[in-house]
Amino acid sequence: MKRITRVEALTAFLLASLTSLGCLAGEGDYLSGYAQGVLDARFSEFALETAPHDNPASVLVRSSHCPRDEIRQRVAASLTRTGRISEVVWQDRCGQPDASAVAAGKSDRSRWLPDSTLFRPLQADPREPRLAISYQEYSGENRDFNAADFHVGETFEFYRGELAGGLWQIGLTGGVFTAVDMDAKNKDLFNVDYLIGLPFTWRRDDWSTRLRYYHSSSHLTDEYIFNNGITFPDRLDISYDVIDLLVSHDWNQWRVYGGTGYIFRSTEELDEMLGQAGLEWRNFTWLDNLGLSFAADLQGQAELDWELQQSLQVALISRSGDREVHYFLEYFNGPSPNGQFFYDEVDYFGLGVRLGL
Amino acid sequence: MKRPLALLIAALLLTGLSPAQAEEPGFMRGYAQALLDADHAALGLEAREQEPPGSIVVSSSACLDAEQQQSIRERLTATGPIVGVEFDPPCDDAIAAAPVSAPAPDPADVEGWTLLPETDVFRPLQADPREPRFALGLQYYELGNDDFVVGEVTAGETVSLVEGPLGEGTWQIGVQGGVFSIFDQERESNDLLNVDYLVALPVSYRRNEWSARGRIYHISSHLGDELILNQNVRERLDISYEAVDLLVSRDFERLRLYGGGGYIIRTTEGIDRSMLQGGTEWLKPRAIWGLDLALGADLKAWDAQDWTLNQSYQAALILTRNQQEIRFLAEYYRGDSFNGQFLFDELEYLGLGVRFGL
Repeated sequence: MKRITRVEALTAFLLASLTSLGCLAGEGDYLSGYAQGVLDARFSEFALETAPHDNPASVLVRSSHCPRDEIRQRVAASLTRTGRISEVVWQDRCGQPDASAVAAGKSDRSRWLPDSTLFRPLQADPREPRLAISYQEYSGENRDFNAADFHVGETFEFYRGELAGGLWQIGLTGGVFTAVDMDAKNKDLFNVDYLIGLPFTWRRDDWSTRLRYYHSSSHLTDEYIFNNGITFPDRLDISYDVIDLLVSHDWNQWRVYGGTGYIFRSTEELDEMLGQAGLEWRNFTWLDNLGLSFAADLQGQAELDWELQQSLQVALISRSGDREVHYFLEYFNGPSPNGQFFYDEVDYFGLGVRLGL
Repeated sequence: MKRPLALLIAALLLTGLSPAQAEEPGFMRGYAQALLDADHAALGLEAREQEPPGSIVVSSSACLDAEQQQSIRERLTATGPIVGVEFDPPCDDAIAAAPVSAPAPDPADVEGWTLLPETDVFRPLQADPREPRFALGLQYYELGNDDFVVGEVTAGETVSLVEGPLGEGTWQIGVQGGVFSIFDQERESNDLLNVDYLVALPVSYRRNEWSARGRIYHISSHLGDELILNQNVRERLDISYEAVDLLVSRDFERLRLYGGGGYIIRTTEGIDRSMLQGGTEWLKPRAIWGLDLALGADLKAWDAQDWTLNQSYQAALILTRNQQEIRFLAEYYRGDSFNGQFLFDELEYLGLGVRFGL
């Protein structure tokens, strides 16, 4: 058998090395592709792109803006969850002023039934549709009592498209808000409010907005009517249709929003103008999947002489993937959020649990 | 052996790579694998690239049924660069495709519990009118001696809080909440007629094609204010009870059968306590205009209603994307009413509606 010469051995070594390098490059492509899949599945609204990194176990994530710390943490937690990726390196406007580094050609981000929202639900708005339960200590004009608040609601997104460098979505939102008098012998339901709306939302980087048509109606309940001898004229026939617009801006852990609304149809001939503003703060930097938040929501309307409805919440948030559970403390002061008691001043502290964002 | 070939083999041996691995290292494979891991982790699927560019082969340990293949194909091609998906083994519709027999759980979740899992191991019942979900409907009611059009608003959801492995399957514990309201559309102010509330703690389990759900739940029922005040109603049924129930379900390729029973453990009206339920569901992917077609039948009988058979049938066209769905449905119901305040009245209706979520 002929001996392998030194040149041939060196050739074999180089070939092996090149193949290894090819493998590493391929592994980098694989990780980059894997990361892009995760980002498209969970963070598509932020238009993030990936590329291989010099370190084979790292992935470069590119953004054309400066993602908030919370988004960075969520992205990093998702990408490193399975252990295939050990580090996420960011290339964005915060660290790399040269935004041209971001790849120009983006895939079409339009889709039916997108699985994320562009305008985050308002944390402290007592009429934001979601699944929640809370126990509240009411101080009213007529009496003090304990109440339970049940909210069953959700927002569904139908379609997402691209508009003016951002993304827009249209969906359907609906909620049923029920209040129960826990001090009454039969735990009487005393108010049920219904809301159904069509929200059009848009997001570009840290700016988001929601334009919404909604219908709201309010009802007393049977137990309350029978036990309190309510007759026809005593019930407020609260039913109205509104268009409202909110604009929101995120700064790292902070969010500020504000806007206005107009009642264009109502059964009780309510004054038309509405106003709303708020502030939110979320922090997930202390523990991976446990966060803290604070939120304030202020609302006023012409019908109530612009008397403020103030809603404050502090929440401990447990997060798994895109799902969250909020354990919250709340305080409300102002005209009641319950439609049948619309003109009554209330003041309550509450303790509750909310599922979803 | 010729020397160049020997050199090539030596090089491959030195790298420790199989030729197949060397051929499939790319971006597309990683992209597809991430989507498979995100949405179909329980199936233990692997992605491979193939020609032409943009094509992916999804390999599994056993046949994926038509519904699973459709769901995966839609997910992979919904975003990004993937344009074609094939399956290995292909398991044509013509072949009796068995569902995957041994799901491989996500390795990250095997060792412990998973908080807030994204899928329910016991699928919601399609035709049960008291399954919590988000839906809107218009129904032509024949209730007792009256005919009228009703608007139905259902708001509800099942949220799985935690799941874990048990034997070769998966268990989950969650919460359910639902508000079921009907409005008389023929009254000027669309009078609220009836509101039923349901709160439940479900424990569910799935092992391959078998799944089961046990629940303890509370239901209370209320008349609407406009009905009371406009029609001067002076009394109501004080329907409020707690019950336990258990359903067992078996999936076949496109068919599902389920059955079980329940028992009322506390009630305010002294109503009889035993309940039975059974049903079937059938699904054909991409049946019409690219939409899935689903048929469902749910049968219930209750001691309190002298075992009258309450029959609920639904046909739905389903738009599914990104693990979300909208159902456009037609429904028919016949039996005694399930609306708590009219529990002892005969009810028959035809309806059209839209439902969101599973």
